[in-house]
Amino acid sequence: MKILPPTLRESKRYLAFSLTAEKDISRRDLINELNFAAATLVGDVGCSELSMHLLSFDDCNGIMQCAANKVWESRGVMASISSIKGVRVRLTVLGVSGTVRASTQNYLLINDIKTSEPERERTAESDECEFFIANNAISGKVVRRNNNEIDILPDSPHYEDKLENSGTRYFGITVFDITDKEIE
Amino acid sequence: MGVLKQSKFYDLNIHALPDCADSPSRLVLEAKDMGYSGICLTSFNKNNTLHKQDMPISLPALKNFEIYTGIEIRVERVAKLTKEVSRLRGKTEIIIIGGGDEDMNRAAVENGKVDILAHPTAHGKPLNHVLAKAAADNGVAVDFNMDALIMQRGSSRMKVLTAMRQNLMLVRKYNIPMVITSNARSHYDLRSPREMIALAMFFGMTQDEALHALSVVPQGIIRRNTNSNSIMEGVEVVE
Repeated sequence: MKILPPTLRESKRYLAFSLTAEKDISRRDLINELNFAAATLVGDVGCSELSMHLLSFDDCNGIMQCAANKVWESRGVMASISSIKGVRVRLTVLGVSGTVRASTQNYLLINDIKTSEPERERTAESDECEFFIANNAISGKVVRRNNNEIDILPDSPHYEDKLENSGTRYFGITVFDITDKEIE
Repeated sequence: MGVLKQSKFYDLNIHALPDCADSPSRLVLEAKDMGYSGICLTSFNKNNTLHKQDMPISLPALKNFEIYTGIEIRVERVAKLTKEVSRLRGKTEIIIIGGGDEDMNRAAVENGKVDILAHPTAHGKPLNHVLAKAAADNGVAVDFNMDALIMQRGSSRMKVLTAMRQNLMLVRKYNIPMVITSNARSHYDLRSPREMIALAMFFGMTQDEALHALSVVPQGIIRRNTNSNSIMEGVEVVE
Protein backbone atom coordinates (compact mmCIF):
# COMPACT_ATOMS: atom_id res chain seq x y z
CA MET A 1 0.00 0.00 0.00
CA LYS A 2 1.58 3.25 -1.15
CA ILE A 3 1.04 6.44 0.85
CA LEU A 4 -0.16 9.53 -1.02
CA PRO A 5 2.49 11.88 -2.43
CA PRO A 6 2.74 15.17 -0.49
CA THR A 7 1.08 17.25 -3.21
CA LEU A 8 -2.07 15.14 -3.06
CA ARG A 9 -2.34 15.08 0.71
CA GLU A 10 -4.93 17.14 2.48
CA SER A 11 -3.53 20.40 3.77
CA LYS A 12 -3.24 20.58 7.55
CA ARG A 13 -2.79 23.02 10.40
CA TYR A 14 -1.25 22.42 13.80
CA LEU A 15 -2.74 24.02 16.89
CA ALA A 16 -0.47 24.37 19.89
CA PHE A 17 -2.58 24.38 23.04
CA SER A 18 -2.22 24.43 26.78
CA LEU A 19 -4.44 22.64 29.27
CA THR A 20 -5.35 24.11 32.65
CA ALA A 21 -6.88 21.55 34.96
CA GLU A 22 -7.66 20.89 38.60
CA LYS A 23 -5.84 17.56 38.51
CA ASP A 24 -3.51 15.79 36.12
CA ILE A 25 -5.25 14.62 32.99
CA SER A 26 -4.13 11.49 31.13
CA ARG A 27 -3.67 11.51 27.39
CA ARG A 28 -6.34 8.83 26.94
CA ASP A 29 -8.97 10.84 28.83
CA LEU A 30 -8.20 13.97 26.85
CA ILE A 31 -8.58 12.13 23.54
CA ASN A 32 -11.87 10.59 24.66
CA GLU A 33 -13.24 13.96 25.74
CA LEU A 34 -12.10 15.64 22.50
CA ASN A 35 -13.84 12.95 20.45
CA PHE A 36 -16.96 13.26 22.54
CA ALA A 37 -16.98 17.06 22.33
CA ALA A 38 -16.53 16.97 18.56
CA ALA A 39 -19.23 14.33 18.16
CA THR A 40 -21.79 16.27 20.22
CA LEU A 41 -20.97 19.65 18.69
CA VAL A 42 -20.50 18.89 14.98
CA GLY A 43 -21.58 15.26 14.65
CA ASP A 44 -20.03 12.43 12.65
CA VAL A 45 -20.00 14.34 9.36
CA GLY A 46 -18.34 17.34 10.95
CA CYS A 47 -15.78 15.14 12.73
CA SER A 48 -14.70 13.59 9.45
CA GLU A 49 -14.29 17.04 7.90
CA LEU A 50 -12.30 18.42 10.83
CA SER A 51 -9.99 15.35 10.94
CA MET A 52 -8.72 16.31 14.36
CA HIS A 53 -5.87 14.27 15.82
CA LEU A 54 -3.97 14.74 19.02
CA LEU A 55 -0.33 14.49 17.99
CA SER A 56 1.45 15.07 21.26
CA PHE A 57 0.40 15.83 24.79
CA ASP A 58 2.49 15.86 27.89
CA ASP A 59 2.09 17.63 31.20
CA CYS A 60 -0.12 20.52 30.12
CA ASN A 61 0.88 21.39 26.56
CA GLY A 62 0.11 19.63 23.34
CA ILE A 63 -0.29 19.83 19.59
CA MET A 64 -3.48 19.14 17.73
CA GLN A 65 -3.73 18.47 14.01
CA CYS A 66 -6.74 19.58 12.00
CA ALA A 67 -7.78 20.30 8.41
CA ALA A 68 -6.45 23.62 7.11
CA ASN A 69 -9.86 25.03 6.20
CA LYS A 70 -11.47 24.03 9.50
CA VAL A 71 -9.25 25.80 12.01
CA TRP A 72 -12.07 27.90 13.51
CA GLU A 73 -14.35 24.93 13.92
CA SER A 74 -11.58 22.94 15.59
CA ARG A 75 -10.93 25.84 17.94
CA GLY A 76 -14.62 25.91 18.79
CA VAL A 77 -14.64 22.19 19.55
CA MET A 78 -11.63 22.58 21.83
CA ALA A 79 -13.18 25.62 23.52
CA SER A 80 -16.40 23.73 24.21
CA ILE A 81 -14.69 21.34 26.63
CA SER A 82 -15.43 22.28 30.23
CA SER A 83 -14.58 19.16 32.19
CA ILE A 84 -12.91 15.77 31.76
CA LYS A 85 -14.23 12.98 33.98
CA GLY A 86 -15.61 15.51 36.43
CA VAL A 87 -12.38 17.52 36.63
CA ARG A 88 -12.71 21.12 35.48
CA VAL A 89 -10.39 21.93 32.58
CA ARG A 90 -9.77 24.69 30.09
CA LEU A 91 -8.06 24.29 26.73
CA THR A 92 -6.43 27.41 25.36
CA VAL A 93 -5.09 27.53 21.82
CA LEU A 94 -1.71 29.25 21.90
CA GLY A 95 -1.29 29.52 18.17
CA VAL A 96 -1.77 27.97 14.77
CA SER A 97 1.04 26.88 12.46
CA GLY A 98 1.53 25.07 9.20
CA THR A 99 4.14 22.67 10.54
CA VAL A 100 4.70 20.80 13.77
CA ARG A 101 8.15 22.31 14.12
CA ALA A 102 6.92 25.88 13.80
CA SER A 103 4.12 25.38 16.31
CA THR A 104 6.55 23.83 18.81
CA GLN A 105 9.16 26.53 18.40
CA ASN A 106 6.86 29.54 18.20
CA TYR A 107 4.29 28.69 20.84
CA LEU A 108 5.23 25.83 23.15
CA LEU A 109 8.85 26.68 23.89
CA ILE A 110 8.18 30.40 24.30
CA ASN A 111 5.35 29.69 26.71
CA ASP A 112 7.75 28.06 29.18
CA ILE A 113 9.95 31.10 29.26
CA LYS A 114 7.05 33.48 29.69
CA THR A 115 5.43 31.80 32.67
CA SER A 116 8.62 31.30 34.66
CA GLU A 117 8.98 35.01 35.30
CA PRO A 118 8.88 35.51 39.08
CA GLU A 119 6.79 38.36 40.49
CA ARG A 120 7.70 38.15 44.15
CA GLU A 121 10.29 36.26 46.15
CA ARG A 122 9.15 33.54 48.43
CA THR A 123 10.63 33.49 51.91
CA ALA A 124 9.16 30.25 53.19
CA GLU A 125 6.93 27.43 52.06
CA SER A 126 3.67 26.74 53.79
CA ASP A 127 0.57 24.73 53.04
CA GLU A 128 -1.83 26.88 55.02
CA CYS A 129 -2.83 30.34 53.98
CA GLU A 130 -5.49 32.93 54.59
CA PHE A 131 -6.97 35.67 52.45
CA PHE A 132 -9.60 38.36 52.72
CA ILE A 133 -12.39 39.02 50.26
CA ALA A 134 -14.99 41.66 51.05
CA ASN A 135 -13.99 41.61 54.74
CA ASN A 136 -14.41 37.85 55.02
CA ALA A 137 -11.38 35.82 55.99
CA ILE A 138 -11.12 32.53 54.17
CA SER A 139 -8.45 30.08 55.25
CA GLY A 140 -7.48 26.92 53.51
CA LYS A 141 -4.86 24.55 52.27
CA VAL A 142 -2.79 25.22 49.18
CA VAL A 143 -3.49 22.46 46.68
CA ARG A 144 -1.51 23.63 43.69
CA ARG A 145 0.69 26.54 42.91
CA ASN A 146 1.78 27.81 39.53
CA ASN A 147 3.86 30.96 39.89
CA ASN A 148 1.42 33.59 41.13
CA GLU A 149 -1.65 31.44 40.82
CA ILE A 150 -2.77 29.37 43.77
CA ASP A 151 -5.61 26.89 44.17
CA ILE A 152 -6.99 26.63 47.67
CA LEU A 153 -9.17 24.03 49.36
CA PRO A 154 -11.11 25.87 52.07
CA ASP A 155 -11.06 24.48 55.62
CA SER A 156 -14.63 25.20 56.59
CA PRO A 157 -17.55 23.69 54.66
CA HIS A 158 -19.26 27.08 54.89
CA TYR A 159 -18.01 28.03 51.42
CA GLU A 160 -19.22 24.97 49.58
CA ASP A 161 -22.13 26.83 48.04
CA LYS A 162 -19.76 29.23 46.34
CA LEU A 163 -17.72 26.38 44.90
CA GLU A 164 -20.91 24.64 43.85
CA ASN A 165 -22.05 27.84 42.19
CA SER A 166 -18.89 27.83 40.08
CA GLY A 167 -18.69 24.07 39.62
CA THR A 168 -15.11 23.95 40.85
CA ARG A 169 -13.35 22.19 43.72
CA TYR A 170 -10.93 24.87 44.78
CA PHE A 171 -10.80 28.61 45.23
CA GLY A 172 -8.56 30.22 42.64
CA ILE A 173 -6.57 33.11 44.04
CA THR A 174 -3.20 34.73 43.47
CA VAL A 175 -0.29 35.59 45.74
CA PHE A 176 -1.49 39.19 45.70
CA ASP A 177 -4.62 38.25 47.65
CA ILE A 178 -2.79 36.71 50.55
CA THR A 179 -2.74 39.06 53.49
CA ASP A 180 -0.02 37.45 55.57
CA LYS A 181 2.93 37.92 53.29
CA GLU A 182 5.44 36.37 55.71
CA ILE A 183 3.88 32.93 55.30
CA GLU A 184 4.20 33.09 51.59
CA MET B 1 -6.01 38.42 10.94
CA GLY B 2 -4.38 41.81 11.05
CA VAL B 3 -7.57 43.33 12.42
CA LEU B 4 -7.75 40.66 15.11
CA LYS B 5 -4.26 41.46 16.31
CA GLN B 6 -4.89 45.20 16.59
CA SER B 7 -8.27 45.01 18.29
CA LYS B 8 -8.82 45.52 22.00
CA PHE B 9 -11.08 42.90 23.52
CA TYR B 10 -13.38 43.21 26.51
CA ASP B 11 -15.36 40.68 28.48
CA LEU B 12 -18.09 42.49 30.36
CA ASN B 13 -19.65 39.75 32.47
CA ILE B 14 -17.28 37.89 34.79
CA HIS B 15 -18.21 36.85 38.31
CA ALA B 16 -15.59 36.98 41.04
CA LEU B 17 -15.24 35.83 44.59
CA PRO B 18 -17.96 37.12 46.88
CA ASP B 19 -20.36 35.16 44.67
CA CYS B 20 -18.19 32.60 42.97
CA ALA B 21 -14.93 30.77 43.50
CA ASP B 22 -12.15 32.90 42.03
CA SER B 23 -10.62 36.07 43.37
CA PRO B 24 -10.70 39.22 41.21
CA SER B 25 -6.93 39.23 40.82
CA ARG B 26 -6.87 35.63 39.56
CA LEU B 27 -9.50 36.34 36.93
CA VAL B 28 -7.77 39.53 35.91
CA LEU B 29 -4.41 37.81 35.46
CA GLU B 30 -5.95 34.95 33.49
CA ALA B 31 -7.90 37.36 31.29
CA LYS B 32 -4.80 39.40 30.62
CA ASP B 33 -2.87 36.28 29.63
CA MET B 34 -5.64 35.42 27.20
CA GLY B 35 -5.34 38.72 25.39
CA TYR B 36 -8.14 40.83 26.81
CA SER B 37 -7.62 44.56 27.25
CA GLY B 38 -10.16 44.88 29.99
CA ILE B 39 -12.85 43.03 31.91
CA CYS B 40 -15.87 43.95 33.94
CA LEU B 41 -16.30 42.10 37.22
CA THR B 42 -19.99 41.89 37.94
CA SER B 43 -21.41 41.03 41.30
CA PHE B 44 -24.86 39.60 42.04
CA ASN B 45 -25.00 41.47 45.30
CA LYS B 46 -27.07 44.60 44.88
CA ASN B 47 -25.17 46.40 47.62
CA ASN B 48 -22.04 46.00 45.52
CA THR B 49 -19.57 44.30 47.84
CA LEU B 50 -17.05 44.36 45.03
CA HIS B 51 -15.22 47.58 45.75
CA LYS B 52 -12.37 49.18 43.95
CA GLN B 53 -9.99 48.50 46.84
CA ASP B 54 -10.42 44.77 46.37
CA MET B 55 -9.25 45.22 42.81
CA PRO B 56 -5.65 44.45 41.99
CA ILE B 57 -5.15 47.76 40.25
CA SER B 58 -1.71 48.44 41.70
CA LEU B 59 -0.06 45.32 40.29
CA PRO B 60 2.90 46.12 38.07
CA ALA B 61 1.88 43.37 35.66
CA LEU B 62 -1.44 45.07 35.05
CA LYS B 63 -0.45 48.29 33.41
CA ASN B 64 -2.77 49.15 30.54
CA PHE B 65 -5.36 46.66 31.75
CA GLU B 66 -8.78 48.09 32.44
CA ILE B 67 -10.93 46.77 35.27
CA TYR B 68 -14.53 47.83 35.67
CA THR B 69 -17.11 46.91 38.24
CA GLY B 70 -20.71 46.15 37.53
CA ILE B 71 -23.82 44.56 38.91
CA GLU B 72 -25.80 41.71 37.44
CA ILE B 73 -29.30 42.33 38.74
CA ARG B 74 -31.40 39.24 39.32
CA VAL B 75 -34.77 39.87 40.82
CA GLU B 76 -37.85 37.73 41.10
CA ARG B 77 -40.36 40.44 40.32
CA VAL B 78 -40.22 42.89 37.47
CA ALA B 79 -41.57 45.75 39.60
CA LYS B 80 -38.40 45.70 41.70
CA LEU B 81 -36.16 45.88 38.67
CA THR B 82 -36.84 49.47 37.64
CA LYS B 83 -36.25 50.64 41.20
CA GLU B 84 -32.98 48.77 41.50
CA VAL B 85 -31.73 50.07 38.17
CA SER B 86 -32.42 53.72 39.03
CA ARG B 87 -30.79 53.26 42.43
CA LEU B 88 -27.65 51.66 41.03
CA ARG B 89 -27.17 53.90 38.01
CA GLY B 90 -24.26 56.17 38.85
CA LYS B 91 -23.08 53.96 41.70
CA THR B 92 -21.66 51.26 39.49
CA GLU B 93 -20.10 51.38 36.08
CA ILE B 94 -22.02 48.76 34.17
CA ILE B 95 -25.54 47.51 34.84
CA ILE B 96 -26.44 44.09 33.55
CA ILE B 97 -29.81 42.40 33.85
CA GLY B 98 -29.82 38.64 34.18
CA GLY B 99 -32.56 37.75 31.73
CA GLY B 100 -34.04 34.51 30.52
CA ASP B 101 -37.59 34.94 31.70
CA GLU B 102 -39.76 36.66 29.10
CA ASP B 103 -41.08 39.31 31.52
CA MET B 104 -37.56 40.04 32.71
CA ASN B 105 -36.24 40.36 29.17
CA ARG B 106 -39.02 42.78 28.39
CA ALA B 107 -38.46 44.92 31.48
CA ALA B 108 -34.72 45.05 30.71
CA VAL B 109 -34.95 46.09 27.06
CA GLU B 110 -37.59 48.73 27.85
CA ASN B 111 -35.34 50.47 30.36
CA GLY B 112 -32.85 52.86 28.78
CA LYS B 113 -30.67 52.85 31.90
CA VAL B 114 -29.74 49.20 31.43
CA ASP B 115 -26.50 48.52 29.58
CA ILE B 116 -26.68 44.82 28.79
CA LEU B 117 -29.37 42.17 28.83
CA ALA B 118 -27.37 39.09 29.81
CA HIS B 119 -28.22 35.52 28.84
CA PRO B 120 -31.63 36.30 27.30
CA THR B 121 -31.71 32.73 25.99
CA ALA B 122 -31.24 31.09 29.40
CA HIS B 123 -34.63 29.38 29.22
CA GLY B 124 -34.09 28.37 25.61
CA LYS B 125 -36.51 31.01 24.29
CA PRO B 126 -35.42 33.64 21.77
CA LEU B 127 -36.36 37.31 21.77
CA ASN B 128 -39.18 38.46 19.53
CA HIS B 129 -39.62 41.44 17.22
CA VAL B 130 -41.29 43.59 19.90
CA LEU B 131 -38.44 43.14 22.36
CA ALA B 132 -35.88 43.58 19.58
CA LYS B 133 -37.38 46.92 18.57
CA ALA B 134 -37.45 48.10 22.19
CA ALA B 135 -33.80 47.08 22.64
CA ALA B 136 -32.82 49.00 19.53
CA ASP B 137 -34.75 52.11 20.65
CA ASN B 138 -33.29 52.10 24.17
CA GLY B 139 -29.78 51.07 23.18
CA VAL B 140 -29.74 48.00 25.41
CA ALA B 141 -27.08 45.58 24.22
CA VAL B 142 -28.11 41.97 23.78
CA ASP B 143 -25.66 39.46 25.17
CA PHE B 144 -24.63 36.16 23.62
CA ASN B 145 -23.29 34.18 26.55
CA MET B 146 -20.78 31.55 25.58
CA ASP B 147 -20.99 29.63 28.85
CA ALA B 148 -24.23 28.13 27.58
CA LEU B 149 -22.34 26.50 24.70
CA ILE B 150 -19.49 25.42 26.95
CA MET B 151 -21.35 24.01 29.93
CA GLN B 152 -24.37 22.44 28.30
CA ARG B 153 -24.65 19.37 26.14
CA GLY B 154 -27.35 17.77 24.04
CA SER B 155 -30.86 19.07 23.68
CA SER B 156 -30.49 22.02 26.04
CA ARG B 157 -27.53 23.32 24.05
CA MET B 158 -29.45 22.71 20.85
CA LYS B 159 -32.29 24.92 22.14
CA VAL B 160 -29.85 27.66 23.16
CA LEU B 161 -28.16 27.55 19.75
CA THR B 162 -31.50 27.83 17.99
CA ALA B 163 -32.53 30.75 20.19
CA MET B 164 -29.20 32.49 19.62
CA ARG B 165 -29.58 32.05 15.88
CA GLN B 166 -32.94 33.78 16.01
CA ASN B 167 -31.59 36.52 18.28
CA LEU B 168 -28.81 37.08 15.78
CA MET B 169 -31.34 37.44 12.98
CA LEU B 170 -33.23 40.08 15.03
CA VAL B 171 -30.00 41.84 15.94
CA ARG B 172 -29.11 42.15 12.26
CA LYS B 173 -32.58 43.29 11.23
CA TYR B 174 -33.14 45.91 13.95
CA ASN B 175 -29.49 46.91 14.31
CA ILE B 176 -29.30 46.19 18.04
CA PRO B 177 -25.89 46.48 19.74
CA MET B 178 -24.67 43.02 20.69
CA VAL B 179 -21.94 41.82 23.01
CA ILE B 180 -20.34 38.43 23.50
CA THR B 181 -19.52 37.63 27.11
CA SER B 182 -18.25 34.55 28.87
CA ASN B 183 -20.52 34.89 31.93
CA ALA B 184 -17.64 33.14 33.70
CA ARG B 185 -18.01 31.87 37.23
CA SER B 186 -14.42 30.68 37.51
CA HIS B 187 -11.28 30.96 35.43
CA TYR B 188 -12.14 27.60 33.86
CA ASP B 189 -15.05 29.33 32.10
CA LEU B 190 -12.93 32.07 30.56
CA ARG B 191 -12.16 31.74 26.86
CA SER B 192 -9.75 33.78 24.82
CA PRO B 193 -11.21 36.24 22.26
CA ARG B 194 -10.46 33.99 19.30
CA GLU B 195 -12.15 31.05 20.95
CA MET B 196 -15.18 33.21 21.67
CA ILE B 197 -15.29 34.08 17.98
CA ALA B 198 -14.95 30.40 17.05
CA LEU B 199 -17.85 29.49 19.34
CA ALA B 200 -19.97 32.36 18.04
CA MET B 201 -19.45 31.08 14.51
CA PHE B 202 -21.36 27.91 15.43
CA PHE B 203 -24.66 29.77 15.44
CA GLY B 204 -24.02 31.69 12.27
CA MET B 205 -22.25 34.83 13.44
CA THR B 206 -19.62 36.05 11.03
CA GLN B 207 -16.10 36.78 12.16
CA ASP B 208 -16.53 40.53 11.66
CA GLU B 209 -19.73 40.62 13.70
CA ALA B 210 -18.11 38.65 16.51
CA LEU B 211 -15.10 40.97 16.47
CA HIS B 212 -17.44 43.95 16.68
CA ALA B 213 -19.31 42.38 19.59
CA LEU B 214 -16.10 41.70 21.50
CA SER B 215 -14.36 45.02 21.01
CA VAL B 216 -16.29 47.95 19.52
CA VAL B 217 -19.63 47.58 21.33
CA PRO B 218 -18.10 46.98 24.81
CA GLN B 219 -15.80 49.97 24.28
CA GLY B 220 -18.85 52.08 23.46
CA ILE B 221 -20.65 50.95 26.63
CA ILE B 222 -17.59 51.67 28.76
CA ARG B 223 -17.06 55.09 27.22
CA ARG B 224 -20.70 56.01 27.73
CA ASN B 225 -20.62 55.05 31.41
CA THR B 226 -17.23 56.33 32.46
CA ASN B 227 -17.30 59.60 30.56
CA SER B 228 -17.57 62.32 33.23
CA ASN B 229 -18.61 64.92 30.66
CA SER B 230 -21.84 63.22 29.79
CA ILE B 231 -24.91 64.63 31.52
CA MET B 232 -27.58 62.28 30.29
CA GLU B 233 -28.29 60.02 27.36
CA GLY B 234 -27.15 61.91 24.24
CA VAL B 235 -26.13 65.10 26.08
CA GLU B 236 -22.51 65.75 26.82
CA VAL B 237 -20.26 68.70 27.73
CA VAL B 238 -17.93 69.53 24.85
CA GLU B 239 -14.69 71.41 25.49
